[in-house]
This record gives sequence, structure tokens and C-alpha cells, in this order.
Amino acid sequence: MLEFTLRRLAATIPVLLGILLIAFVVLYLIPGDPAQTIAGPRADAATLARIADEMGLDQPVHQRFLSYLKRISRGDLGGSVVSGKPVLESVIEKLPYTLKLAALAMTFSIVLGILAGIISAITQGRWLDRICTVFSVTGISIPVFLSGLVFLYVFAVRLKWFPSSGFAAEDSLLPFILPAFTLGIRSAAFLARIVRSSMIEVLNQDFIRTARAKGLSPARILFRHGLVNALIPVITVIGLDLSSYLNGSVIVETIFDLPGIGRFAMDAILQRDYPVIQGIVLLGALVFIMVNLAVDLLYAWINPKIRDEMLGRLAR
Amino acid sequence: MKRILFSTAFVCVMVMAANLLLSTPAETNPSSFRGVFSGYLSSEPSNLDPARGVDVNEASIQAKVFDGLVRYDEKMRLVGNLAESWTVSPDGKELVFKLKQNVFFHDGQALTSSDVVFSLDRILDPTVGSPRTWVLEKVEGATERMRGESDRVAGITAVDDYTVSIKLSAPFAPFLCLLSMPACYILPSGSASAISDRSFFEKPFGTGPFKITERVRDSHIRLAANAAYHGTRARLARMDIRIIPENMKAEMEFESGNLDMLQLYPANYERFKSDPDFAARITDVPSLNVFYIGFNNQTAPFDDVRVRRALNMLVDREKIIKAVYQGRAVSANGSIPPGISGYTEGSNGLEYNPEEGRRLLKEAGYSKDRPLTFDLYQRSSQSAFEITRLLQGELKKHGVVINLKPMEWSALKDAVSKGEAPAFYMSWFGDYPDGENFLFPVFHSSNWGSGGNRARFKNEEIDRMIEDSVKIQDADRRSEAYSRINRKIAEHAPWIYLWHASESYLTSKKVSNMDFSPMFFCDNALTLTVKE
Repeated sequence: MLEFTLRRLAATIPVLLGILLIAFVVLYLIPGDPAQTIAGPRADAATLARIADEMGLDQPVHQRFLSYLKRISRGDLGGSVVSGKPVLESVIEKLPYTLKLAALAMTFSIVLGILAGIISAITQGRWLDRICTVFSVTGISIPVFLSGLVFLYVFAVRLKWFPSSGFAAEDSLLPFILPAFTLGIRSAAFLARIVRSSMIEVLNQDFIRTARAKGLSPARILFRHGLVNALIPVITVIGLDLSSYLNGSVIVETIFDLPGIGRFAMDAILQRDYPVIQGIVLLGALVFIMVNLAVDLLYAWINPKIRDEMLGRLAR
Repeated sequence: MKRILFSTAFVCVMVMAANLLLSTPAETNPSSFRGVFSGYLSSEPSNLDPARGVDVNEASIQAKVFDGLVRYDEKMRLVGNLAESWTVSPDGKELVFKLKQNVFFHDGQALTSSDVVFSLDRILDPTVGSPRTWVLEKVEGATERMRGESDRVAGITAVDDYTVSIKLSAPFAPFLCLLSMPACYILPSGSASAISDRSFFEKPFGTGPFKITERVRDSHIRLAANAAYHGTRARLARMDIRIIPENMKAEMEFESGNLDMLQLYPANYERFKSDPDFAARITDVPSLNVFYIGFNNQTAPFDDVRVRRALNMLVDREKIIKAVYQGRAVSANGSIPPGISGYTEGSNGLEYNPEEGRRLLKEAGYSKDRPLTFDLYQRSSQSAFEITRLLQGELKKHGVVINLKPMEWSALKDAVSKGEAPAFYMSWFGDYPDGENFLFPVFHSSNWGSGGNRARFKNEEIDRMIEDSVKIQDADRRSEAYSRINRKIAEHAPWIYLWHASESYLTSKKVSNMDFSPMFFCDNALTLTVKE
């Protein structure tokens, strides 16, 4: 298992390099010049040239990429060209907001999604299943910016149950509940569909009939035999959602005033703040890779068959 | 079941870790100050460094934390701030400032002339890389300092602890106005090392009426009144300035009573104006700006003055102002907005005159079979589309075909600076209330391209007229000279002059005495009061 993990980790290096290269080339290709953001509306040619020189923008692109790689291999993500603040420091400052939001959103998503999925599966075709289906289709279809604004208006502005922004109470979890619900409800809806179909498939298999025949309690059949076997596709979806939450959710962070990674990235893109964009892309890629790895390991843990396959492949 | 427990535990740990990282210290306020003002900015002020700030959001925070030698008060009069008094030599080349004594920075350091010399020198210091070097480029020795040939600016000297002399290489009458700009705010030279590694600007301090007590980037900046302020002290105890990028969100927050002011846009102006409860609390502020369609004056079809003049005459400005701004703008007859030196009412010969416009176009060789067709570059924002679609429709009636090219802001600036855009919808906002600010940067050939002269307008006579005008010390005569230049440039019609728009603000019932001068972004909130 350790060897598997190490190999998977080693395999991430070319993936990271590829992502960095793509990000670098895209930044190089899009129009807009960070020197102009820094220099403002009265930027004479000399000032622009000086700033470009300072940022190394006048060097050829491959040289810039190489010196960038050299820098990050030392663990130095560089500093924002606009504010001068180290990228890593800014990310660490913003991470708590994104983590909190991601954690709460995942909680909503997992609890609501799996519950609704199981209910749907065991009441298949009956009215409770239909209600769950209507809710989950609605949840999937409504875009986050709309549901976010509706929740904000109803629960924060009208009913005043929750603060309308992350500013109102920095130390509590309260301002995170509405945004997390907005994010979570959407993936809960998606998850419910997957849990439902996966559960129905598993519950129709022979070993479940065998378990029933053995006289096991319905709860034990459902959770110990049914749910665990239905979890594989569910974990994949959870992993994907978690990685995207950890990379920040621009729309939700904007609507609910949370100073997280998503808004930070968006501002950097608009200002063409290259070091910040690259730093966030790198960290984002790392998060994706790590979560994927965790998901793979989780598969192996849940399903010994997969573990054996993995180890067998390694042995070959 | 174990797995579900595991994931729940994982989530709990993440939440706890996040909570630990998020705690912030509480802040107390001095008791003689009253009320808390809740304001907002549309984006995080990325730079609170006076030498590096370039936008209004940055300026509005800097103005409350720092002081300059001089400033504009709410009646737009230039008054002393850190300078108690000043004299200008008869030839206009030397300014001597007497500083106030007993002025202290927020950390207790006393202000002396060395802080002034240090702060002004920084702007020209090549290692700082300030985008605002132009503010002091007329100072003696500025070029040598910028090139790194000298380690100080020869023209800026401390005569004694409380006297500073600034020598100019040539007379430049608007210089005092430039000194009021945020770029020239004074920093504590005692914190030089933190200033040079930029860590100082995370929570910078100056001598201003407010101190930054808390700052969470992309969330808020909290300012508390400075009890040791050297001038008339602020009335407020605190200002909470939040960062709210979404207009709709700001509107919601205002209506929930969480904000004390709201900037209005054409899209929501009507709604608030028609509600008597709100209408009385709306202030329209004529601001220092000009909106225009710039032409690339060097390339076809806009290298032909007849085409440029014709397009000016084909635009019915009043109609668009009525439709989009509900009348809160005045037609532009030049680049200089009303309220500052150089503005004069009256005709510039480019008013709406479709017959003459069509005649000129015909003379330039355009007809129904060969219509004038061009790309109009613009920002891809709702507010820009509102204008450009109307223009497109209006001009189509006269046989002119406009293709709109919406672009993201950075890309647009790039295309315009490089001269790739044949025509573009943009605006110019003043940094200081002097007509020079609407002539030299936008039409002098030395500012070609990104320097502000985006229209690539080049005319030696105009260049010389601008250079001569800034040497005139007498304010009235200088204003007349600006006015003549403004008219002269209009003859060449380098832009379609559109309008000078007002900005509109809605304030909460608790707020009074808010500074709504055109230079309000540099307001230090001394008069502002908020009922508790």
C-alpha cells in the first residue's frame, strides 16, 4: 500500500509540470499586461518598460518558465506584482475561509445527498422517491448565483436568521452556513441521484438476497452490505466536489462576501497578476491530485478487491 | 458505518482548524468620538502605498490615514494640511513650505521635514518603481534620480526641521494641485525599512485623522479616529469599510441597514429616485470626468478630420443623456469638465447637426453604397453596452455601421495602448481639479498611447500651447489659456466628446455632512457624522 502511494505521488510530478506549462502559456497568450495594471492610467512607455523589466517580462517565454520552475522548486511562489505581498502568505490568509466553506458545504452535501439517495432507493417508485427526485432535479438545475441570491434575500435580508456576509461575525460559523448550504445543496442533489441508482443496482444483486435469506436485520443489510458497496461512484463525486470547493467558489464567495481563494484568484486574473495566478493554479492542481489520491486510497480501503488489483498490478 | 464516522470526523477537524486560523483581536474606540460609518469599496485597495496607488479605492483609504502638504477641502479650495503656509518665488520655480509643529504619526513619531523629503523622494526612487513619477517630474533633478544617477532629488531639500524647499526645473503653475494627490502623502521615515520591503503597507500608518485598526483583505478595513490628530479632529469614532464587488449585494446590504451609503447606477437609480423615502437622500455629485469615443487619429478612416468631425455631429448627446443618465450628465464641448479651470460653456462647432455631419461624410467619400464601417472597442460591461448600443443605433440611421468589440478591461487597455483599436469607448477621470489634467495627459504628444493620449493625437501647435499654459502663474489667465486650448483641440475633433457624468449616492438616515465635492475620493471624512 505504501509503495502504491509513493508511486502515485511520483506520478503527480509530470502532471503538475504539464499544468504549470499550460497555465504559463495561456497567461503568455492572453492579451493584457500586468505592467499596465500597476502603472495606472498615466503609464508612460518608460514606466511600463521599467516595470516589465523588473518582472522579467522582457525575457523570452521559455526562459521565464525555467526561472519560474527554479523558483518554485525552492518553495518560493513569488510575490504579487500588484501589492508586493508573498503569494503563499496571501493564500494562507485566505485558506481558512475556503476550508470552512468547503467543510460545511461537504457536510451538507454528504448528509443530505446520501440520506435522500437512500430514501429514494428504498422507496423506489413511491411518492417519497418522487419528492426526492423533484428536489434533486431542481437542485441540479438551479445555478448557484440564483439560489445564492434567493437564500441571501430570504434568510438574511428578510428573515434575518443568518448574517448576510462574512464581515458581520468573523469568529463564528454562522456566516458560513448560507453560502455552504448554497454550494452543498447543489452537490447534494447530484449525489442523491447517484446514491439512488447505485443503491438500487446493489440492492438487486444476489448477495443482498442471500443476506435477506440469512435473516439479517434490514438496517444491517442496507448499511453494511448495501451502502458500502454503493459507495464507490459516490466517493468519486464527493472527491471531485471537494477539490473544486477547496479551489474556491468565486460566485458564492462574491455573493456572501467571503474573502476566500476564489475571489483572490479572480482578482488576480483581472489584474494579470501572473505570480498570484500561477501560485493558485499550482496549489489548486496539488489539491486536485491529493484529493484524487485520497479517493483512490479510500476505494482500496473500502473494497479489498480493488486493493488486490492495485497491488497485483504493481507486482506485475 | 465506520467510514461515515471517519468522514464526519474529517469535516469536524477541518472546521476546527479553520476556526483557529480565523480569530481576530477586538478594538476599542476613544470615547469623545461618536458613531460608526459603514461604507464599502467595489474592490480591494491592492496598494495602500501612496507612491504605488493608482485608483480611487486606494485613494479613499489613503486619504483618511495619511496627510499631504496641502489638500482640497469640501468646498474644493486648496488649503494647507501638513504645511502651515507656503510661498512661491516670483519666477514660479521655488516653493517653500512651513510645516506644522507637533504633528505625530500614529505610532508616536513626530513629523519633521525629513519625512517630507523621504516621502517625495520615494516617488522618484527607481527601486520603488512608482507609476506616479510624473507627479514630480518637473522637480529639479528628477530625471537624474529616476535614472539612478543620483541618490537624492536635488530639488527637494529640508531647510530646517520644519521647512521644506522644492525647486522646479521650469515654472509649472499646477504643481501645488499635484502635491494634493495621494501619491504625495507623507510617510514616517522612521519606518523606512518596513516601507522598503512593503510589509509596512499591510496596515500602514501616517498622520491622518483615522488609523487602520484591522484589515482583512477582500473583506474589510476598519478605521478608528485618531485622538492625537493635528487638525480639527474627526467626529466619527470608527469607519468600517467593506469590500463588496457586486452592486446587487451592496444594494441588499444598504436596504438591510448594514451600509450607510450606496453608489447608484443607471440600473437602480430610477427605482430609488421614485421612492420618496429614498429620493430625498440621493445626492448627485458632478465629478471630474469626461466620457468619449476615442479615435486612433493616425489610421484610416480616422486620420481624416472630416470623418471625426462628422461623427461628432451625428451623435445626439442630449437624447442619450436623457435615456441613460436620466439627465445626470452634461454634454461635453471639450475634454475639460465644468467646475475647474479652463471650462467654458458654449459651442465648439461639433454639436448635433446631422445634415452637416452627413455632408462631411459624403465629402470624405462615404455613401449608402460605401458606408463608413468601423470596430468600436469597449468594456464588456452592462453600463458600457447601454451607451454603445444606443450609439450604434443612432449612427446607423445616418448610414454609419459600428461593430461592437466588447473586451475584458485589461485586454481593452492593452489593445488601445498599442493602437490596435480604431475607435474605443472610454473615460478619463481627473486626479486634481486643474484644467491641465484634462489637456496634457490626454492630448500632448509625449503621452502617446498608454500615457493617457490614447487617441494618438499629435499636433505641434497644441503641444506648444499646453507647455506655455502651465507657465502662467496667474490663475485667471491660465484658465483662459486652457479654455483656448480646449477649443483649439475641438477643431481637430480627436474624440467624439460625449459628456461629463455625475455620480449619485444614496445615504442612510443616520448620515449627515458627507463630503460630496468632486474630489470626494480624497476626502478625509473630518465632517462626516453618523447618528448612533
